[in-house]
Amino acid sequence: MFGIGDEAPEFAIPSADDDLVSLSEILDEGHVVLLVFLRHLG
Amino acid sequence: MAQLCPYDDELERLGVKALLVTFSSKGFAHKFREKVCSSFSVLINRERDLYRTYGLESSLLRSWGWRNLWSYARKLVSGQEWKGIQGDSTQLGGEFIIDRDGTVRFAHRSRDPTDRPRVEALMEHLQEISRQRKDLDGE
Repeated sequence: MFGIGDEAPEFAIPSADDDLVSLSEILDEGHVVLLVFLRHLG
Repeated sequence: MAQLCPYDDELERLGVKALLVTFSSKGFAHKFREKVCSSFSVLINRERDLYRTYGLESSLLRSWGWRNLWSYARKLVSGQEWKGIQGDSTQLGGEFIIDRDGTVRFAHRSRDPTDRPRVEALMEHLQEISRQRKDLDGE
């Protein structure tokens, strides 16, 4: 299990707008990423 | 994480991209953005493989413990709308901050649905990362 100080696992998953969003592309743009995993949208 | 919405401008100033990951349907994701938080990207992960990759657990016992039931009861009493549950109610969430180098700077895996970090604490982490980056860049 990774933790603080480790490299974040790469991902590429679709957005609600059907764009494919990848972590590496966002980082390449110079952003810091706040990744929030929701439980459900109820 | 609707509490993050008012911080939209501050997140942009800090160079932060907020990504919300859900296993709900695309239709619910659109409704969420329209009604709650239109400025953040919502990513769809129906299979929840990314949840597993990031170490987020499913737990029936912890998802429906008294603390969560009490939380639901308070919301209902306060007049909040109950929209039901989509998908697996046992799936737990989490929050991660990843810096520009791809390094994990903050990791929170919920023990139960009420176990989420305060938005103010997340913002403090993000502000500190921004300060450190400016120091490194000599700004």
